[in-house]
Amino acid sequence: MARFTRWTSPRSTIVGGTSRRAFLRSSGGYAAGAATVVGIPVAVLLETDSEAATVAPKTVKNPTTDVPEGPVMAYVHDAKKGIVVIMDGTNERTVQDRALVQKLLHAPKKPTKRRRPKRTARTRPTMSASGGRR
Amino acid sequence: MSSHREAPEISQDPVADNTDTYAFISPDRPDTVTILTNYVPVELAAGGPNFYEFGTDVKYDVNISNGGKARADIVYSFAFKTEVMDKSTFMYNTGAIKSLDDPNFNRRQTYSVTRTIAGGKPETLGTGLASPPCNIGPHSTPNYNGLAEKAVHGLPGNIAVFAGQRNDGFFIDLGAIFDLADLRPFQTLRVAPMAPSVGVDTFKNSINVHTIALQIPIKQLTRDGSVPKDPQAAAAVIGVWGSASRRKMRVRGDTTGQHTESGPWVQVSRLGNPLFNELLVTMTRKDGWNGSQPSGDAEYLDGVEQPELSRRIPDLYPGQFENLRKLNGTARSDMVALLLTGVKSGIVPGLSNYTGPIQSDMLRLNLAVPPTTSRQALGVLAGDPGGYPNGRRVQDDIVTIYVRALVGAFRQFFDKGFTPDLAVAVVTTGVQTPLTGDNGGPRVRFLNHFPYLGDPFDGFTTPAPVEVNAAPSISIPGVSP
Repeated sequence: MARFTRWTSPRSTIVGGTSRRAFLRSSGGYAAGAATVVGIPVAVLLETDSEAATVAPKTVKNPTTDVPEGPVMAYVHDAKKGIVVIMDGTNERTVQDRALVQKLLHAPKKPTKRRRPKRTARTRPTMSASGGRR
Repeated sequence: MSSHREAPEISQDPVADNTDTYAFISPDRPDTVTILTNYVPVELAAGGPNFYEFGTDVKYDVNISNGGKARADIVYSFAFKTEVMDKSTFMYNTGAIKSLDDPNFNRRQTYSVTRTIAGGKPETLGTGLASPPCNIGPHSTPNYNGLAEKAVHGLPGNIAVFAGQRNDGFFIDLGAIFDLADLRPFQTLRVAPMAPSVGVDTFKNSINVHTIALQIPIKQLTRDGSVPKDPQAAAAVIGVWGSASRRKMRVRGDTTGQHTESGPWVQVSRLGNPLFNELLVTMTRKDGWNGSQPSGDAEYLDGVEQPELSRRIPDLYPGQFENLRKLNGTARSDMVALLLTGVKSGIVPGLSNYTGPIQSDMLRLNLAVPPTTSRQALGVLAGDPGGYPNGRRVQDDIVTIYVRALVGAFRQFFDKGFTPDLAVAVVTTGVQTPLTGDNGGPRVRFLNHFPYLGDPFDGFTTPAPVEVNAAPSISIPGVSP
């Protein structure tokens, strides 16, 4: 399996912070810069920034960021530090975005409908071949 | 085994498990180098109905270092696709497979080959190249040899390529060596002695593997495009290793019901010198080694300078390796040279494969050393400069060479004051080198032409059925005569 090394904060690859000022510093602009560095839809990203959220809709009405044809995958490496690893194609970027992590953690859950199960032959618990309930 | 299931994590991922790497001057085309990298360890010949194949989610690389920096200066990459022709059946084949495009060949693989030089843009050398089926039996693959020959393809630049099932040419007495380093011929000398016996070739007549084979003109492999004639020429030695990589992220059964992958390729297996990871890297570091690059192998220097097996053998064979016992108190510069840097000219007779000071596990081949006509299975140790550790041929008795190296067979060339124990010159696993022949067949393990590893054992006759006369004849009244 892959060689795992002890995690150290990859300062050189992390887009520091999600404040509006930090983004402007690192990207040199809104749409193109943020999209290039972070690699997720600009509108979504800016929405995660509490300060920028109020500005973004006015600035980016029609995001023109190239959308990868393949899937974009991401995982939160360290929720407390806001470290997110994003992959599309064979590219990988690591960003630090506490607001994005907070948004993911508090994403609304799909409401579950509570139904009282009926005791029919179909829903009755059955046993698997190994003897366990399934 | 050389590197079959050699690390805990890769042992759970057979299609990506690089088991052996060979590199040698092709004996029948001496202007070319043949490189073989094997995957999918310990294939049972009858292992259907889903017979073995390459991973379609694995990137297989053949890496060549020619610049003296232990970097992959040339990389040949293989990517496989699987196609099911008839989705209404569960069968691998629905009749006899008589050609590689036979409609009866239901589950088939094709592959592409790309070449990347010095980290540049990959160049596609071939696409849609057919792999042969697995060798199933006389009803399904009646002319396997013919199928396999059709699966040798030509690529631009006079390169030959093959990717498919072969018999596993690694010969070793696994049962003995894994039973606390037992060597059957020397069992009388071992602690808890037993009667001596010949070695058992564990893979004989039984085990297959999947091979990626390339035959490449020498001038395409040297740093300056030359064909070296002087073994001491700067461009004469190349380093070779195989590797396999997987995508960093995989989601099982996403919304489409398929597996989805993304992210960079992450190396999960590699192999240069046989047995390096197997014997010289401790268990908890083996998978880390598999994911690392040869240029960082200084990290594993401790296992080479103080090989564990060398330390244990004097106690396992009391009184036979006392000079080795004393040697174990020193750093094994002989092993470091053999495995991590190559050996400079003039130290070991007939061996010159130094690639520079960067410690890296690579299979080092001197391109200026022609293939030998009188091949010796013990290679350089037997005065045959065309064999291991100058590259590796399929016939080289790697295990015996390795055991002898560990107990000090090469040490005398690096340390004139060292006298090898008497046992060093005779120690062996006792396994005979399998036969080499012109044509593929169930009992010819090696070929004298590309791809050099013989046809795979077929599932119908492996293991061998009982003799015909020993089986009762069954008749059905009214139906059978």
